[in-house]
Amino acid sequence: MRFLLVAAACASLGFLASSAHAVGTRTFELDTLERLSGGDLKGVAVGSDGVVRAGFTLGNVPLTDATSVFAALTLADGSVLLGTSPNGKVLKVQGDQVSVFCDTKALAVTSLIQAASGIIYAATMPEGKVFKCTQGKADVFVTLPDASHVWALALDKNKASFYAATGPEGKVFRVEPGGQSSVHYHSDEPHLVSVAVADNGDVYAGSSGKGLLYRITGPGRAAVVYDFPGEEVKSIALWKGTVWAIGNEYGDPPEAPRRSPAAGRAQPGPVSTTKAKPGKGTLFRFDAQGRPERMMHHDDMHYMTLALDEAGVAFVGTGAEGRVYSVNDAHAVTLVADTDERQVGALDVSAQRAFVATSDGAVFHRVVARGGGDAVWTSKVLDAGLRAKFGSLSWRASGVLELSLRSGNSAAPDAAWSGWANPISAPGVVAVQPGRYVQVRARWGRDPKATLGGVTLPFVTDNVRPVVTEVNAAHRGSREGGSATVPASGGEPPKHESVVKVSWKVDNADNDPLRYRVAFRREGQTLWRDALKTDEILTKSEYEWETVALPEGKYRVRVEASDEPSNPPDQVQKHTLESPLVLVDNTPPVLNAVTLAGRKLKARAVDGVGPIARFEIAVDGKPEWRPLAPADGVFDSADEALDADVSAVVPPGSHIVALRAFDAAGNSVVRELESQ
Amino acid sequence: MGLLTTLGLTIPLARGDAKPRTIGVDEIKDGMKGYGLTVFKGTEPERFDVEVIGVLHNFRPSQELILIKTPHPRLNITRAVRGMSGSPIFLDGRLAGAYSYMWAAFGVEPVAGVTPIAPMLAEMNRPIPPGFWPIEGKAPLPPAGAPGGGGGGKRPARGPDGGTTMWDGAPGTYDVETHARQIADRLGARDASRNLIPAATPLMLGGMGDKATAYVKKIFEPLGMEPMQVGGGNTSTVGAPEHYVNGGALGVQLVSGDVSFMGLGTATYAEGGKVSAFGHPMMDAGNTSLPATIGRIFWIYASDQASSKIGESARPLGALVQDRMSSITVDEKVTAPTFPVHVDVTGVDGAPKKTWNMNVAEERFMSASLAAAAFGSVVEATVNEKRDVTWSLKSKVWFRGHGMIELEDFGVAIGGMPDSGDFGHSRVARAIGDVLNNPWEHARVEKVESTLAVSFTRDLWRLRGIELKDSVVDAGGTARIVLHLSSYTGPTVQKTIDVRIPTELAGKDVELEIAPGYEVVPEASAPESLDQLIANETRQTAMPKSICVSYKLPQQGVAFNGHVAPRLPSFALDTLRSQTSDTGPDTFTSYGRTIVPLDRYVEGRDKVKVKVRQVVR
Repeated sequence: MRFLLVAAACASLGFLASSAHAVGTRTFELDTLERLSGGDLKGVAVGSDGVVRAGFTLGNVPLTDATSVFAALTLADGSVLLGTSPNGKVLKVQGDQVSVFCDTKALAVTSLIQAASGIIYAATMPEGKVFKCTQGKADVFVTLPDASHVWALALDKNKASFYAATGPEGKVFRVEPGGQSSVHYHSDEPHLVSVAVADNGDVYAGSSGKGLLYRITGPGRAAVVYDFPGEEVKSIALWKGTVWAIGNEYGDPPEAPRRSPAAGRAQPGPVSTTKAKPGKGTLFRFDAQGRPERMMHHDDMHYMTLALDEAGVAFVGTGAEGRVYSVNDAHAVTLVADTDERQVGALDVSAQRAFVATSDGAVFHRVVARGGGDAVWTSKVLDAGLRAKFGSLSWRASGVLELSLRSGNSAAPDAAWSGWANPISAPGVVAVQPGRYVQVRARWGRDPKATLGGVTLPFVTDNVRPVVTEVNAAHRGSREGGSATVPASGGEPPKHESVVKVSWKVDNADNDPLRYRVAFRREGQTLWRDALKTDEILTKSEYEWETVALPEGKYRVRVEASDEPSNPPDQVQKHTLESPLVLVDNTPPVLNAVTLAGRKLKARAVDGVGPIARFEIAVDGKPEWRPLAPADGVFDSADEALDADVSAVVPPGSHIVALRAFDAAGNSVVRELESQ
Repeated sequence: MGLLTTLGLTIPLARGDAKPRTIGVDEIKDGMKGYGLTVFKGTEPERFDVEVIGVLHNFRPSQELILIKTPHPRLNITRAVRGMSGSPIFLDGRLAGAYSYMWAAFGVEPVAGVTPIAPMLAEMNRPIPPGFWPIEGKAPLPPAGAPGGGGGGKRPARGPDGGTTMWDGAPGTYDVETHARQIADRLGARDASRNLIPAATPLMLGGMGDKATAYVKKIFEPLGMEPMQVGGGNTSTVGAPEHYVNGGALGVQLVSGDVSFMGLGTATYAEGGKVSAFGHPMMDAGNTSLPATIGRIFWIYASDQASSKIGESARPLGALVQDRMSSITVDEKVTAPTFPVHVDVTGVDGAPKKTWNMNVAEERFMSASLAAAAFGSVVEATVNEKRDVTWSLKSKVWFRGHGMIELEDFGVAIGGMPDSGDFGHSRVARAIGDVLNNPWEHARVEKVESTLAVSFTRDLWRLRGIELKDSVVDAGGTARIVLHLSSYTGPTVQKTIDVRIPTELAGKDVELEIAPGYEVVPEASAPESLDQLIANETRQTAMPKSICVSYKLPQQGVAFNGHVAPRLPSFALDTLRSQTSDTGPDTFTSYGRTIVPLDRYVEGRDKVKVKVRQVVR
């Protein structure tokens, strides 16, 4: 069974209710299927109503010589045959003993059926063969023409012939007991991957390609029952006139790894194990009139197997997380098993011989009990983000349960974790040591029929000082990270903006609410002055500081972060950090000694703070400003001279020439002259 | 060496002679005089005088080298002689060692190095590891079925001694020239800084043309062998000794028959059916198994650069079983494995010889390279014309216990046939190399039968261009492509091929790639056994005389353990690719392929895009 680890603090937020108790107290609330899942389920099931109740208790028989299970067949003596890959063996599980029943030497045994005569047929890929299997022997029964892969077999209603769904030509073959085969239906799809036969002899087949469910009423006669979302109809089950089918949506498959030129010829090495992205799975039910009803859907996992119990309740094995869900007529979804493996490859939920066979790794889990006194529910690891003290554990239950906690400071429970604390049978405080991580466990020993829901566990973490890690102060609209106050020669003139945008970053490990204070001081002064209004409470990590009323000069901004909103005064933690210098300049420069002799333009620009950033001229009021260089070639001071030949800009004759000078803060002044 | 000297070990002068004592290196003084034995002509050893110049201590690890002068009327002219390696040197009437080393080239004095006898005798007595596979015959192998025996049960994955000639590469990637470079690197034979070198083993080539000889030189010279085009190969045992004798000529017969290769040296010391020879390694292969032969010498060819004996096989006898630093050891009582290569040549009217038969030594490096050289020789002798040639070499290769495979090498050569170097890259040579170097079991080549079909035409279509008849096709429909094929002298012809476009490509722009069949490499699973490796040898490309249209499919496939499963639905791909094991199936991109047989090979590639329309009925 698995412990799904919650490594990041933010991941735990999904369990947190808003603070309703003392300052700094938060609560893990486990009250939904999702929140109650992911830990260890032994003999319990988790429903979409947020209730934990009796479920499967699974045995564990590892399967050697296989990594995946494609199919299963339960024999009359209770033993189970499993079709496996990648060595194409049919394994037999009897009790806890696993043996090779037969070896097809194919890549995978994809489907197993037993005819009324007792003959066992095994479908294989990739050479389109169906084998007749007996203990220790696999004989080719039929090789289906134009079929590389046989994906599914289903017995005809006479229980002697069978149908085979194949690819990559999308054909259903009918195979007679003598081995004669004929194409029963040829679809437009590349693969037909599932097949089932109704009591009236109609054949249902599901495709991979467009995800179509066909009803084939005779050779060559078929109608599409439903166009599933996604690409494939993986499995079909029939029960009293209703048709159940699971479909998957994968999207585009990831690119195959690039093969070396020798790939396939050189000796094999380790194979890339790029993790495939799970698809989306959907379970549909079709009533006798063919009307579809979506019974269950998962966006985060696709479905691999479908089985119905004697009551017609559907059970679905997933292609990720190795889970088994059931869904009832009211659409109530229950997680009945959560294995350690990735996929559920085969499933039987009949009352007496239920099992879950998984792929990756290949394990046979017989359902050894449903519920009972040994049932145990263990939550996933809950992450408080910091070391925490835990409060009173509470829950809702029908019946008597024993709950306990254990805690630790590593994401995976290990020997350094505390042991399980003494259990309690009524809500109360559990004596568990403080820790960042905690797990809740419930035992059904005193009341096997009890149910559990609404588990809550308050906690208070250590109060950690918030740390301001970075303060940025820049005029609003200035370019991020560039030399905004010294525009490039010939570039756009700077725009004046009196508002300085102050922003900061804070490392707030305990995630408690913070308040910020912003102050400033001019370079050379010692006194910090508040930038905020007297009654202003700032909780955002940015502030727009209006400087229009300040004398020009260079300033620093200081930001203080305090966790006082969520902590008592004696426990408040603060931290401050100053910004780099920011220029405040709201006064334009002055143009002196402006002369235009012929085409020789001279002037002097002086600014209080500087530097002068740009000279430019325009002619006859046209909005085309042409830049000019200062006399010394570099805009590097608050006092810049201009001595420029403007004959290239000012045509011969009389013209109005406007000279404009900018300082680095974008303040500007204009003087006009008339050229002769 | 010291141990043997101290014990005063005695050895016979020649087969059946009384055992003389050996002389230890520490007893050898400057100026000591003695004699050596070697064959100057025929098969009988003759004496030549020697005088000690000095002893080089630690010349090789734990091995001294005795420097001698060999004043002799003939040797004064020839100076150091290739092929004299192994000639026994006697000092004070006792066996001192084997003539073995010479100055790299242009020596002006008859001076040579002598490998002391002690390490040679030690190597001579080195047992062959139980179960060492290539040698057939009883002794010294334990009988089949005995523990560690070669006759039954699971054999070791590789010979007990990896040896210098092992192929260091993944199975399925064999290449003769790469293999030769690996061996040369291991031998250090390319070290030009060495002055005193083993007297190279002259490799007597018979039945070979100039190009084939050049190829053999390229492959074998860096390994310390000196190929010489001298003829030979048709062994006559008339007058040949029945056994090896001290100072007698000793050959290692790599190929015999219509084409022959024989490494030539001299036996140092024979006793009890075993012979120590050469005084240096041939290829430092360790335990090995190559056919050996008593040699017959015609002449010592004198050269300022390097003199050499010239000879041929006089009587095949035994096998080279140890190829070690100080000597080689031949065992008269065992037979080395060889396999027959039969080549029929068709289409060459008037060729003097159309059927060729050779026997090739089975060895993991030699076999492939020797077979390639033999094929090259056949071509050179039979089809050595400067004309356009279309040729195919269809070969059947039998591997013991693994059946027969058929391979085809082919080509259109403008201005003359390919040479041995090209055959080094042939499928048949690569298959032999791959199989003999496989890591799973000891493989045996039983025979090779090839037919070289030649026609003096430029039997080639050049892909002039293509024409897509419909730029938009229905999914599930057919894209028609007109190939414009031009020939060397004839007119351009057009050929229309139909390419079925699968329905799953609906709505996509599909790139159709047109390529010669011989350039299309079908997917194969990485071999996990010798059977799979052999099977893959036959799946190197699509049909050679064909054109192939390929397009990428949305589904991927997997290959594993001999199985290739293309175009898999998503669930199957997901399940087959385990995330908990990295020893499972390997994923590949699936391609749809339409292969159209043609009457000629095709040259050229092209691409075209087609839009696939969803069919709405």
